[in-house]
Amino acid sequence: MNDETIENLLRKAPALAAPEELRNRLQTQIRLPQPEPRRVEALEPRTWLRRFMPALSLAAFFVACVLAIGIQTSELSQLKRENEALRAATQNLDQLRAGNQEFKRLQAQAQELEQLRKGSLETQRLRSEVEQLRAQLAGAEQVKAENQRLQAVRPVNSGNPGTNATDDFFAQAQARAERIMCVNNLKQIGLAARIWANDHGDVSPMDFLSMSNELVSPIVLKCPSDKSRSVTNWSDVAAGNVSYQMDAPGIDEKEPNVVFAECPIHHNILMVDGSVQQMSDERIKAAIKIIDGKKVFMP
Amino acid sequence: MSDPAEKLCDWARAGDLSAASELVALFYERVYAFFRRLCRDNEDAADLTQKTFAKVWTSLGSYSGRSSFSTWIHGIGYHVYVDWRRKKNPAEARSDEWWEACVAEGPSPFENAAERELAGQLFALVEQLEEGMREVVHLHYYQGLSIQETANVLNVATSTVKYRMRGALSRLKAGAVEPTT
Repeated sequence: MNDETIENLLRKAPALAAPEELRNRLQTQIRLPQPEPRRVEALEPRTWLRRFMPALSLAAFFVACVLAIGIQTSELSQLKRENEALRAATQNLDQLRAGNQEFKRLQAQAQELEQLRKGSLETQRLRSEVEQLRAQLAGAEQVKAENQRLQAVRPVNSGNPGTNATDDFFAQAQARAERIMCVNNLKQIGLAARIWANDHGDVSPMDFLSMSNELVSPIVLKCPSDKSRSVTNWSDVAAGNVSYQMDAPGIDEKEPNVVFAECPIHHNILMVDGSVQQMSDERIKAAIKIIDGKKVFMP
Repeated sequence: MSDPAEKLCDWARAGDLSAASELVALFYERVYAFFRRLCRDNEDAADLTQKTFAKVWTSLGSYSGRSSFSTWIHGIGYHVYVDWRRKKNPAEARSDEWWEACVAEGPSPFENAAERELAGQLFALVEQLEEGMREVVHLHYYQGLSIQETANVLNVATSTVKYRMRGALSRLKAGAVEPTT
């Protein structure tokens, strides 16, 4: 028996008779579900707002989000711009600060240079006066020689009342010339001291020998009226052959009124700022005060 | 929706009582035969048929037309039978005489006595098959459902239905004895 035969026989299974009363019973037991009446409110048109409320809520939320993001983005970009501007301003500030410091430094150098130039001009002026006086002195020597020659030629019978007056005249001129040369020497010493201080932290030198590189010649350390000394080279200076007295060695240049050096013969005083005061003894005594062991010029 | 049963279903769903009566007339014999072959008892088959149609009426709104109405009602009937079987032990296999007594009046489908004897032997063997194979034979051969419909009723894959059919046929072939003429 093959599968086809079996399948055919199975398909020929006889229909089973169902009792007729079962059909009647089933038909009487039919309980169809009552169709639900359509709800009235479901048919009523919903208001526009109620119908679109979910969509409107979502849209409003979305718009709010977009607005918030936009505002935040705008504020963020504004803050970034401000940050960039502040950063650039800070860079400019640093540059300006550096430029200001450089300007101040240059200004100080210019002032210092101007002061040195003034000192140099004063020195040149004094030098020219000295030259002029030397010339006058040479002329006076010549006149003096001529005068001596004439006196020698003149008869000896009478006294010479004009000789003392002539000597006084020449002696006074000599003294004035020496005094001016002393001032000139102090000026050069002051200039050298300022140059030295400029290279050594604005502090004056401790002795005159320290300024050997700044001074043109050691001769300026000898007052022309000081006949007891002879200064020709720096070894004489090292040996102490200096006419001038250093009153404030190592003084800071921030104290310009302090007397740095003075001439004991002419009482010319050299201030820390490089200026030289030329005055009488009485005036010096009145103007100079001793403060903290320093001579301070207070006119 | 060419199936007249589905039109009747739609009408019954709308509350048409006559359409529901038509559905009963169309399907109650097949459902009753399905249960009677499975339960082997007239009273049980009638009860299960009533339960099935009661479920049909309550579940009519859920019928969506994805499968034919015949498949849907057989599916309900199968689950009703499974629930019933869980509560009650299946009856013993019926004899050939029982089959003879159950058949409907009318011309016999068998050509001769030998074929009828072989069919009775096969039907008795079917009752001895395992539950899954037996259900497939009942739904596919006895109830005339297609393989796809059988799979839908049993809620299994078509390949499972085919596998069970092959198993059932091999068992029946092994068990059947050619009648001597």
